[in-house]
Amino acid sequence: MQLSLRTRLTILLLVAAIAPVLIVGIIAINQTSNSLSSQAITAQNEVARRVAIQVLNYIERPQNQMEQLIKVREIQKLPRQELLNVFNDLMSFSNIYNTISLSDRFGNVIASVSRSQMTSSGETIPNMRNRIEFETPLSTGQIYYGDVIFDEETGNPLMYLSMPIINLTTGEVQSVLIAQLKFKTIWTLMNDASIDGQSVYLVDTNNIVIAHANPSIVLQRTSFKHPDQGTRTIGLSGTTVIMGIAPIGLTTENDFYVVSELPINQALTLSFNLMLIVGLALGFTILVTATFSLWQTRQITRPIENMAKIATALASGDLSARVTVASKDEIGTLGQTFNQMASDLQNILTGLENRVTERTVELENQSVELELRSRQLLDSNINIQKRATQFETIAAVMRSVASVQNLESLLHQITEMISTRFGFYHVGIFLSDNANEYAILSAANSEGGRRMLARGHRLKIGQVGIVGNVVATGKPRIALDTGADATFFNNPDLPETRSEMALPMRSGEQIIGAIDVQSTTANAFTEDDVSIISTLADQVSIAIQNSRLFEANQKALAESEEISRQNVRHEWARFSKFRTSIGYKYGVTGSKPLTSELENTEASQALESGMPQWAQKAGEAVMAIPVSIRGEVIGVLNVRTPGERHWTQNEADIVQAVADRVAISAENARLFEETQRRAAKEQTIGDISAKISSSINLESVFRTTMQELGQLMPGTEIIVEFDDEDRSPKRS
Amino acid sequence: MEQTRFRSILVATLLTAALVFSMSGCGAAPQRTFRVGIVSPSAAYEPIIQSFKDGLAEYGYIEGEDVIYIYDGPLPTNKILHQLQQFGTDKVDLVLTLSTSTALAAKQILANGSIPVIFAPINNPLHAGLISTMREPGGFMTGIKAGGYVEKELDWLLRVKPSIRQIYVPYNPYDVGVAEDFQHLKDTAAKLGIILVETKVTNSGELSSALAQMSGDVDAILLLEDTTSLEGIEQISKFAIERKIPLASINKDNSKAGALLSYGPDFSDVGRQCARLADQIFKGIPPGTLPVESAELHLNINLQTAKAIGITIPDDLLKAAETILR
Repeated sequence: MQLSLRTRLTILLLVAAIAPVLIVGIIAINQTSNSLSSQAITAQNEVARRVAIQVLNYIERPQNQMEQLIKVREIQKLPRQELLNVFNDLMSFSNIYNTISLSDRFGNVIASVSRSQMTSSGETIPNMRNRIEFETPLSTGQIYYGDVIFDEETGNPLMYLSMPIINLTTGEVQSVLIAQLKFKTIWTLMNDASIDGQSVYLVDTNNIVIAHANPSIVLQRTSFKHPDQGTRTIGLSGTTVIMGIAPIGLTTENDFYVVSELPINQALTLSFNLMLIVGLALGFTILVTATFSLWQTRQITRPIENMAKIATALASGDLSARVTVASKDEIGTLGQTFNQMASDLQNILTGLENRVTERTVELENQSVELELRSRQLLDSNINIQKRATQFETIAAVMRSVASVQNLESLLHQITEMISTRFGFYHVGIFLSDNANEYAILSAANSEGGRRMLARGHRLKIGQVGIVGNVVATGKPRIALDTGADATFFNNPDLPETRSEMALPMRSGEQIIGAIDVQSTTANAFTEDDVSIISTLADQVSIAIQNSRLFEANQKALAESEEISRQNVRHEWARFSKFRTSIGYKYGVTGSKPLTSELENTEASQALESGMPQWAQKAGEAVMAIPVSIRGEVIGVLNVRTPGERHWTQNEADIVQAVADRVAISAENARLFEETQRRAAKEQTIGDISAKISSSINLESVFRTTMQELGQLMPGTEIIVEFDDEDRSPKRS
Repeated sequence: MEQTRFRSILVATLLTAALVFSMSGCGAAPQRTFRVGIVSPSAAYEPIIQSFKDGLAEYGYIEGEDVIYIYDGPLPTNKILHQLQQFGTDKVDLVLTLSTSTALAAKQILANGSIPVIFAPINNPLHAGLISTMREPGGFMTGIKAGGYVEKELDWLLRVKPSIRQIYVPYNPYDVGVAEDFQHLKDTAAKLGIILVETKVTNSGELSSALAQMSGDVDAILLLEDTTSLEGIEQISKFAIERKIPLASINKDNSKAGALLSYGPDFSDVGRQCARLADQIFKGIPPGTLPVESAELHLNINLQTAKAIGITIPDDLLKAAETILR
């Protein structure tokens, strides 16, 4: 993520300004806290130590008192009642005693005073033998401090203090003074010490709390494992405390521990206050620093941001935008420079804008010119396309002329083509009649034109309409929808005509007709149209001429073919006269000539129709294929096969091909015979002519002629007759 | 826009700093108001009630704000039951019962255990069936044990006047704790050859009648923790002084009323002990986990009475006395 300059500068200043303060503050607080914490621990240790001294004094006091009883009062020598009085006095003197008793070395209780029982019932107290508070001083000769025990009835902690009484003469323990001490009285010490959140309590070696300001904690026999020395830890209350420890040594060094604890928030109140003050000072410093940093950042970044905005405004086109320069420092200089740059930029851009405006005007002019040229080019292109279309039309017409031999169809195609390609709604072709009297409408594309065609529309040449005029004069003509020409547009079949153009069609010098083109647009025809359609008219003329020649040729060809067929029919008829057989029959036994016509229906039908015939008759299949020469049937190839059979197309084609070969071969054979016959004839004529030519007189000529003819045609009478001036030649 | 944001940040920072300063002076949240029902069968326990209130006040519970006491004064047995039922209905936060019979009634009526009960002073709550053990009572009750001292009371009396052979003992045998104390006293006296003149009293009328009928051979009067007797302490003291016989009772107030000596709990201490237990209960510690405390026993001697009846108190007793009324 890209941070803004202000953000980065702010972070930099804050880090640079606050971090050192923060670090110093943290270190100072930490050092102070540690120091104060140590002081608090020391203070708690001191509290514990003082209380420990009081407790020790409190506990040692009965020891001293009991020692005094032994050493000063020599209680071991007192009578029982006096002993009881002494004990009562002692108990009255100090309420730490719960019971005081004296036992002899055998464990018998000599006297016993209890705080809760009758003084006079000491005899009923059981023997102290086997009780540790008796046996220990008896055996060791030392003062015995027992473990803390808890009274079964009240739950209060108690402790035995036993002191041996030694016979100074024998050195033996002669009796034991036993006191049961109440720790409950020590609670008062704990209570007195436990003020203002301070909690002081006494813990025995088993970690049992035996004295506390709150009796419930003792009576519950609360266990608390305390540290060996003062520290910051979790206290008896379960909260973090500053704890002080002070051991109390009676028989050993550490029989009890006085624990002093103070909640951390109280123990370190000074520390907390100090930290609060330092923290507040730190916070205030940070606040001031942050504010100053922000202010400085603002002082630095605001002009830059302003310049950025102005730069943005400049970039968006507001060249009049300027930075407000409020200072004379580097940023002020930067602002002035920025403004100067903006002014220069404005000037440059203004000049550029002027130049651009001028260039724009030039470009616009050039654009107009280019557009004009473009339009011209477009027009030219259109014209070219139109011309191309026209040429295409011409080419198409020429292709039609070349491909279409039917004149009527050709003319119709031409009218459709001109109408479609040139966009004229009516195109008609008029042809002159044979008498060159009328121009007859021969083809038209429009509905009106077709109606005119249907009713045989014709115009008197030289008299009616521009078509008649053009056919008569042989000159193209364009009629406009104005002036005298307006009369031409009264044709009810073509009511939408606004322009009409008629172009002559020539065949050589002869006008054979005209193309009539009509448009729904006034002044629709141009010179190009006239030129192109004139060209078309010429092509159409050629087509018409060609068509007419084609039709003439077709007619001549048909006539020639008919003559040919007649000749074939005649020649074959004559040829057949000289033949003894009329055909041949081929069977499994070979071939044999036919002398009479077969009674065969299929053959007769094929001969008459000229078409192949197939038939399935009883017991045989028949196929009769005509044998034709130049369309004239000269015979029939009759094929028969017994049984049922369906002739295949392949068999039919083969038989047809054979029939065609037969026809050609037969015709060739006939022509060969005919040629031979003619050659013989010519030979004869030549011989006769030679002989005649060799005669030198007329008589000889005639005689030779007669003789030759007589030899050539025996039995004939030959007469040569000469005619006089008024008569015909003479017969001889 | 930019300036506004800058000012907003500055103001927010200053406000935060001010808030931190102001927060540093804030104290703990105020406590709730606890309702404490008190049931007492005798005006003799008034010192306990008063010290109980004083004790709670020392723990910071201001009456009317932090704690409300519901106490209609000493009540007869039938009203005590009704009052306990009413406490159960009202779901008070704590009930303080005074005397063994009242504690037993509370144990029965508030048996669902939803309301903690502190009893005091009870001769022997374990024997009375109020608790399981002294160390951990269990259930919903805890309190102050203040019994087992009659033997020593007798001891003190005998030390004042060793020639005593007949002791007049009025008591209410229907009070379980009193009856138990009397039996213990009787056993002890029997061992010493002392005759106890047993007189059963259940109300002040019976007490007056009993005193009027007391034999002239009686050497002393000894009172147990019996509400009828304690209520009539002034009458009994006056009677004892008139008959010039020593009167031993159970607490300092009795000595003030004229008893020659008293040995037993100081009701003011008992009340404060109850207050300490109540404070812990208010702080959420279940009463059944709070050990039953024992009341400290004190010897009190009224030298005016001694002078009036012509008895000299031995010095060892005076040394042992907590209070000497001269």
